[in-house]
Amino acid sequence: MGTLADVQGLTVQFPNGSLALERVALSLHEGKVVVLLGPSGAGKSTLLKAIFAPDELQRLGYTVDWVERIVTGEPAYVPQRGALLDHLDAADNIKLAQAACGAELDATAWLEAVDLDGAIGSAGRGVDTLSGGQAQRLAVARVLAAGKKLVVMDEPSVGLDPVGVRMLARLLVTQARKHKLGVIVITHDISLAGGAADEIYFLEPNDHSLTRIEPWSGPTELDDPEVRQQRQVQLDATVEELLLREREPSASGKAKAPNFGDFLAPFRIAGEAIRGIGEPHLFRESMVVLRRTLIQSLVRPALFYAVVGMLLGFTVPYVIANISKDLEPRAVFTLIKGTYILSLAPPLSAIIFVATSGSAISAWLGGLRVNGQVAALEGLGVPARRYLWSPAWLGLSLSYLATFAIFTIAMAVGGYVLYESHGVEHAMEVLLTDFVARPPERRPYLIRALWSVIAYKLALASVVVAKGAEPKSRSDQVTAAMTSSVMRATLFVVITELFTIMLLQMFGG
Amino acid sequence: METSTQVGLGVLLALGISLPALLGATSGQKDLQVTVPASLPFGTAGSLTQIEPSGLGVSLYPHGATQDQKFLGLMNTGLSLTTWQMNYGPTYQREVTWPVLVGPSYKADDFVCGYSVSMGAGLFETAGAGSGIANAVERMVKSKIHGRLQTEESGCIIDVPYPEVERVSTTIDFEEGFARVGITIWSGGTPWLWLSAALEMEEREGAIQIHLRPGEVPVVHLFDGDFKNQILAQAEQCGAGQGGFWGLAVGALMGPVGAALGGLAGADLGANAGSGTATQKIPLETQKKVNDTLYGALADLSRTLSGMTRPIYPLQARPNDAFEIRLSDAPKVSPTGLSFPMCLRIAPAARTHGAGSPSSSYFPGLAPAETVTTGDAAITLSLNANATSQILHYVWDTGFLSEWGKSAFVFDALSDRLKIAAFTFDGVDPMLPPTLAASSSAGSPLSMALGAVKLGSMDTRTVWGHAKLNMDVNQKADILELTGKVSDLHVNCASKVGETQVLSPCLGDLLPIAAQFAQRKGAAYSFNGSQVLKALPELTYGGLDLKLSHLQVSVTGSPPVLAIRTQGATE
Repeated sequence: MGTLADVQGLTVQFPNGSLALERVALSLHEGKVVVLLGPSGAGKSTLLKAIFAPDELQRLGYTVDWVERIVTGEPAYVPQRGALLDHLDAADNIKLAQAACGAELDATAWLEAVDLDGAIGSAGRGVDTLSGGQAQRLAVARVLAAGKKLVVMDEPSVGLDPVGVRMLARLLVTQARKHKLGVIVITHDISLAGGAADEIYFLEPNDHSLTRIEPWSGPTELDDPEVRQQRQVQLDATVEELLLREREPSASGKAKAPNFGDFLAPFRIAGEAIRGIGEPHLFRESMVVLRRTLIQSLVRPALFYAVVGMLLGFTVPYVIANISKDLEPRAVFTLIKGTYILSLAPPLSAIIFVATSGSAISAWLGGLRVNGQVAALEGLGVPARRYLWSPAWLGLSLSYLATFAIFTIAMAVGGYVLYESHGVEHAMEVLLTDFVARPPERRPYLIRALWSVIAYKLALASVVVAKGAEPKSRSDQVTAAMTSSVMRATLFVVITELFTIMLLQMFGG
Repeated sequence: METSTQVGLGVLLALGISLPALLGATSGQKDLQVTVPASLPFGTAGSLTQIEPSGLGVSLYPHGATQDQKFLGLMNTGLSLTTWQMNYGPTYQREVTWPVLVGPSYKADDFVCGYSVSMGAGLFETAGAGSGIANAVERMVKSKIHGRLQTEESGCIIDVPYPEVERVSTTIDFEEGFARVGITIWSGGTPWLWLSAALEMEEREGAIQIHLRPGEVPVVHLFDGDFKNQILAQAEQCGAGQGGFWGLAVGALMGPVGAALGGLAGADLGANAGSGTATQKIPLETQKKVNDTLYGALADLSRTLSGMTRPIYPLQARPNDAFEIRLSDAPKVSPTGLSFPMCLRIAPAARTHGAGSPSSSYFPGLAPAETVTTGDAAITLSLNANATSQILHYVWDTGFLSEWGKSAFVFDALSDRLKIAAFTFDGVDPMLPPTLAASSSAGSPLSMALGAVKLGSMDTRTVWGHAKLNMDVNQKADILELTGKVSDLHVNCASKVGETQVLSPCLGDLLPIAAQFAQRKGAAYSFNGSQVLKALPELTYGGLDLKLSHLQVSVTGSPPVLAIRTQGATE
């Protein structure tokens, strides 16, 4: 019986120096299921991160020390309700895991392995049609398909009825035994804990220690019904006693330390995206995300962008031309030509794009975070950087370029209607002359506009994806990230406009 | 720092550097530019159409610039614009223009024979507009016929008191080629003398000569009355024949009457009268005396008319500028009036643009302005294109045009409109004389080409404009409205760099709009014709006052004929 993970003397301090865990020891072996119990906020998630990703905690300012730490591989993380990817159908969820580990793409065998009907794997069968139990089974099947030996499951029984809980417990035990998996289950569900656990630990919030509940003779689902029931009652009583101990006020002190990683996140995301574009690994699978991003950020709002662009293309010169009764509107139109499009299309399209498409993508990525889908992906060996951030970044970049083009053309169409109605000769040529035929002194303005589009493309995609990719545990963090990405991107646009104007002044534009 | 973050920051850095680099690379790009030696001022270099092999040291950048030669002159004479253009779409036009004066030109002090003055027969209607003429004749008759008629022939003395000249009535009738003048002298409510003569006019050394129509002798009739009876009685006492006394009496009369008539006719009248009817029964001595009297009066008149070719200095503002007129041909007499084809030489005392400045354009083969008299009391001054060109040149050469272009009227009106343009407007100052141009605008018969008009400055450069000004004259009652619409507008800048003059585009963005709207909306200048006429100096000649009214200006035909017409009346 091989050891998959073993940690001894693990101590974790919050960024403010207070203790999160003290001298904790935990081992996980092949074919075994370990259950972590404890009150909410006791530090179960922190414990798992300290075991499997201590550098991530350290990056956030935590202090993580241990006497001994052995981890044989990256764990597969299965969040609540399975954290299935809802932009993929059931079969594709499994195939994505198979693609990540280089296995043959065949979902049927794994669906059967977790006792799921093969029809669930039919093409186009959305995961939102599955029951809670089916979703958890599919999540387990996905982990198995990924070839993972270490599995971490977070509240897997949420939403399941008692029968479903028992079936899940039995599934975990049998699959662990069959595939020599090491499974760690974080749960508040005593029925699941008793039914599946080979070992049960209780995380003590008062002294930040990890207590093993003993004696414990293994999963009750392997026992006779009478024995199972008796042992379950005893476990209930034990856990209740542990939970009812007087608690000290939480000293988590999860005060956030200054975090420059947040500031640099867009650059990291941009860099990761640029580096990831050329990677062949998961290329085909990431195209799903790219396509979804393009649909969300471009196809759906394209008409909206066209309408807004057309209205602005009409109203902006109309208002300018009517600032004085002393001016002939036609003269003003002939004078301003399409310069207003060249000047306004990049910033306006950028701001409207980030508020619309950017928010949509930010919300989608944030939702993936909150729902644990990102963690699940990582756990399956599917790098979110490659599978999500990079194609989403690329999709947003392409969408913005297309949006700029749509917006510009729409503004020209709006302007054309206005100019034509006022008898401006060669109206469309007049509107587009700054783009296609320009005198030397106008070239800097075209360069500025095109440069701005490139800058906005990079910035918007990076800010939106970075904010969407930020770790989130609450839904309000999703909206906060959306708002933040809009504000940051807008500020970037405004500052860039100012910066480029100053440069134009410097270079005599 | 993670590699990805480094990549992202690297991209940001590269992006940040790229814009200044790109802007720096493009900011120095030249637009259209023509370099001309500084010794080659506008308008004097001949055509630069073949810029490369011109040998004038002129260079053009870029070579892709299109070239358009626009000839704005009339009958291939006048202003030619060579414009190099770079068109960036329909609205960005970058251009520089080189204006050149082409074709023959008058010297500044040559006679220009393109004027015509006509006087309608109505002006000589003595019961109306010509009453002043009748009054003048009456004054002259009264000055000569007073006191006594005293004459001696063969020892016989005739001494008869003249009747008091109570009234003199005059008639002037025009027929084809001559005028018939009739004078009747009244006393006591009855006429006692009537005479009539047919007069012709011709040109002699540029002046008007009046003589009796060949073959037609003056007719003199002495009515019955005391005066006639007294002459006959004294002659009878002297033993002379009744017929001789008739001749004596008429011959003696013709002296003063001829003088009076001379103001209207000429020296020959007196001579012919003396040898005509009167001489048939008049002894030789009496005849001679009468002729001497008549010739003396007509000689005075002849001298007066020949003096019309002497220089005059009519402008108070420029009292030393000499104007000389002369007839270019014989005056034309018709039943509707008189017309005089004339030439004018203008010799300005000082020239604003220097002695070497270009002369006025000359349009060869152009007929003098023809004026059709209409029989009313109108006086019409007509100018053909050469005459108009001469006046335009004078107005330019003497600086009137510059002064007007910088006057408050023009400056205030235009500077207000040009506020939006990024240049300092200094007024309109043409460096080349305006020339007549072929009209390109319907309803604008008078077109002028203006080249090298200094408009102001932009950064360190001078702004030059070149354009055609299409003038239209509209008359509403006594109000004259001059409307000027600009077409073929070209503007560029020029600056002196070392020994060269660099022509570069400027105001190119405004130019199409300005051209479009200048053509559509002309600047209008209205003035009251009566006030203009009142401002003229008093026209008095030999006690004859000429009063003008109802000023009308019109331009007709192509080449254009400018006609300034007024109603006249003598007092």
